[in-house]
Amino acid sequence: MLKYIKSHLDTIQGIDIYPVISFVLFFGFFVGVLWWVLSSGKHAFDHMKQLPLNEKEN
Amino acid sequence: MIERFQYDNRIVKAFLFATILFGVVGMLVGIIVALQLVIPGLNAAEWFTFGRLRPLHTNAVIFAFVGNGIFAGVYYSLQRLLKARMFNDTLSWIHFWGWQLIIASAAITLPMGFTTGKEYAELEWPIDIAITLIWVVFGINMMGTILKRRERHLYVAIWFYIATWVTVAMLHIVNSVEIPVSLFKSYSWYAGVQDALVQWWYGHNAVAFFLTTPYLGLMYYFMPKAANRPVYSYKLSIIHFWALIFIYIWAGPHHLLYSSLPDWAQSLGTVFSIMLIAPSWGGMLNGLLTLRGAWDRVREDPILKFFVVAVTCYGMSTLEGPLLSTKLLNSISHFTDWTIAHVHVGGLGWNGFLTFGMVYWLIPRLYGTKLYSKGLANAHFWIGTLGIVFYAVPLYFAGFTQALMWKQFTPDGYLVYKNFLDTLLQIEYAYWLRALGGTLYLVGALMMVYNVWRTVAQGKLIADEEAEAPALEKNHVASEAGHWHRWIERRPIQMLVFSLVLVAIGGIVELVPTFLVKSNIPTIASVKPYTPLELHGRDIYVREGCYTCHSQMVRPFRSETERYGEYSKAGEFVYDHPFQWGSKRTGPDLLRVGGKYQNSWHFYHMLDPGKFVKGSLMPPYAYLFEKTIDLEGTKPKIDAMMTLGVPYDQAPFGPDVVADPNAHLLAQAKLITDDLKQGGIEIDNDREIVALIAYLQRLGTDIKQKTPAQVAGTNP
Repeated sequence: MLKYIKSHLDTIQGIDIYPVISFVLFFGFFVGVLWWVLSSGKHAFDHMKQLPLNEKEN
Repeated sequence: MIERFQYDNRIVKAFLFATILFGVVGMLVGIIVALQLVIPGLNAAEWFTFGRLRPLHTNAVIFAFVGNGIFAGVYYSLQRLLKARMFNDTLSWIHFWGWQLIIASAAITLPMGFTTGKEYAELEWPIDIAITLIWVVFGINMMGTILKRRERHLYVAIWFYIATWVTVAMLHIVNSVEIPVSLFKSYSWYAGVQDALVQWWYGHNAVAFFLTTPYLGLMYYFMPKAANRPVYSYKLSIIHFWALIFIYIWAGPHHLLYSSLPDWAQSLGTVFSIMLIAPSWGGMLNGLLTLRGAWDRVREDPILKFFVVAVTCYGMSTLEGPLLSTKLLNSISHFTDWTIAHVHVGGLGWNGFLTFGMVYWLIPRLYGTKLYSKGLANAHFWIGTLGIVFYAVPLYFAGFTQALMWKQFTPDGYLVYKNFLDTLLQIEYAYWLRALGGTLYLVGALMMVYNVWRTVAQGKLIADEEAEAPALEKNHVASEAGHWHRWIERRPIQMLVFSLVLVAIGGIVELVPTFLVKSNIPTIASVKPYTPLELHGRDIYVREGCYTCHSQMVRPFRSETERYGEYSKAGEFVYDHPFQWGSKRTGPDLLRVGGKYQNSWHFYHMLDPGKFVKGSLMPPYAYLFEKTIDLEGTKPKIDAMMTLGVPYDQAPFGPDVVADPNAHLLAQAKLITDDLKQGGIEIDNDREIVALIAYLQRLGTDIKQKTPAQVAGTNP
C-alpha cells in the first residue's frame, strides 16, 4: 500500500513547486489576517474582549 | 427568550483533583530520577532503573499533570464562554475515566519496559489506540458544546482549544504508526532519518500543541478573570493565534541540527524557530499587559503572582528556544543539561505555575468559599520560584561546562578530557542542586495540596451551577457588513477544518520530501540488517531506555569525530525501527562503540559499571545475566521487520534464516560465549546480556566494511 502511494508520488511532475505554492498560500492567508485585524476599528472586538468577564460571579 | 441551565462543576472538580494528584506523583518521580543520576544504587530493581522511570516522569508530568490541567481548564471555561453545559455528561465521564485509565496503564507498562523507544510517545500500541479513542470522545464533547452554544462569538481561548484538539490528533496518529509484534511490542513504521524527522515533528509539536496552545487558551481566559479586566489587546490575540499555528508546525527539525537529517530540513527548522519569537512574545506581552493598572494587586494576590511568573517563563523559554535552534548555540547546548534546564523553565514555570494559579482560582469558586490560607499560597509561590531557580541555574552551568569540556583540545590537537566520565563528574554538584530545586518545588506543591484540602473541607461543592442566558437566534443576520474573518470565527466546524488544513500542509511539506526524494537518504551498500541476536539486543537496549542517557549520533565536529569516530551518515540507519539517536548524553555516544571494547569488557561493565569504571554513574544491569532471550519472539520480530521492508530474505541472510532465525541466533551467541570463555567467563548462550553485547559490538561497524567495489579499488 505504502509502496503504491510512494511510486506514484515519486513520479509527480514538478513536485518541487508544491512547497512554494503552499508557502504562498500560507503567507497570503497570514497577510490577510494581519491586514484585517489592523484595519478593523478600535471597538470592533469589544464584545468578544468582554466575554470572559460578563458572567455573574458567585 | 431567557433559558435557564446549569454548568457542570463536578467534572471540573474531578479533572482538577487528578491534576493535583498526578502533579505530585510526576514531580516525585522526577526527584527520584534526579537522585538516581547521582546515586546509582537507587536503581534498585529492574523496573526501577533510570531508563524506565525517566519516561514515566515525562509522561506523567506532560500527559497526566498538564493533560488533566488542560481538561479541567477547558471544561470550566468552555461552558462559561459558550453559556452552555457540556454537550453530554456521559461523554465527559468517559473522557475522564478513560484518560485516568490510560495514565494508570502507562504507570504500569513503562516500568515493566514496554516502550516504543520514542521520546514522549513511549506508550505501546494498545495504549496508543486508547488515547486516540478518548481524544475523539473529548473532541465530540467539545465540538458538541460549541454547536449548542448560546453565545454566537467564539472567544479566542476556544480557537486555541480547537487547534489543540485537531493538531494533537494528527500528530499522535502519524507518529504512532507502528507494526505490532506482540501485545506489548511494536516497531515504528518509519526507520532511521525518517523516523527521527517524524518523531521530532511530533515531539516539538507536543510541546507546541499540548504544553503551549491549550495553556495559552487558559491564559486568555483565567488571566482576565483573575485580573478582573479584559485582555490587553484582542487584535494581538488573533494575530498570536494564527501566527503560532502557522509557524509552530514547521519548527520540529531544530531538534536534529548537525544530525544526519538533510540540510534543507535542518535550515527549515531554524528559520521557522526564529520566526516563532514574534508571535510568542506578542502573546507574552498581551498576557502581562492585561495586568496594566492592576500591578498593585500582584503584590497581594498569589494567583496573579503565579500568572506573572508563568507568563514570564513562557517568554523566557520562547526566546531561548529559537536561540537554541541556531546552529551556533545548538552545537553547544545539544546533548547537554542546557536542554533539560530549558524545558524545565517552560515546564515548572509556564505549565506548573499557570496550573497552580488556576487551581487557587478555581477551588474556592467550585466550593463556594474563600481560599483557606492566602499566606500559605504566597509561601507556595516563593518556595516554588526558588525551586525553579535552584533547578535551572545549576543545569545551565552544567550544560556550558560539559559542552566546553567535550570540545577542549590541547595545543597539540588532542582532546583534553578523553574520558567522558571526567566531564560528567565535573557537573555532579549541579545534579545535586537540581534535585534540591525539584524538592523545593514539590514541597510547594504539597503546601497547595494541604491548602486545597482545607478549602474543600470548609466549603461545599456547587455541583451544578445555575446560569441563564438568552437562546441563540436561529436566523441571525449580521448587523454590520461582515469581514471574512468574522465569517469563520462564528463557524467552529470550519475553524476546525481550516486549522487542520493549515497544520497538515505544514506537516506534509516537511515530511513527504524526506520519504520520497531518494537523494535525501543516500544508501550505503555495506549497511546490512541486524542479525536475529542483534535485533533482540537492540530491543533490550530500547526496553531499558538506554537512549535516555546515550546518543547514537556522532555530529560532524572534530571534537566528536576525535572522541567517537566517523560522523553519522543518513544511510547507516535505514534498518533502525525505531531510530535511537537520543537527545541527551549523560553517558558517551554509542554509535561507534562496536568493536571498541572486548566482549568481556561489556560483560563486566554491564554487571556493575561503578565497580568496573571507577566513579561511573551508570546503573548496574545484573538482571540481564539472569533473564533469557525470548526465543519464541524471534520469528514474529523477523516477520514484522520483513513487512517493514527489511530484506532478511537476501544476503547475508536468506530464506533459511527467515524460516528458522533461532538457529542463526544461537550460532552467533555461541561465538560470543566461546570468546567470553577464553577470558574465564561462563555464561549460557540464551542470556539477554549475550544479545545486548552482540548489538553493542555491531553498532556503527557496517560503515567500516569495504564493499566488493571498494576492495577492488574502483571506489577508493
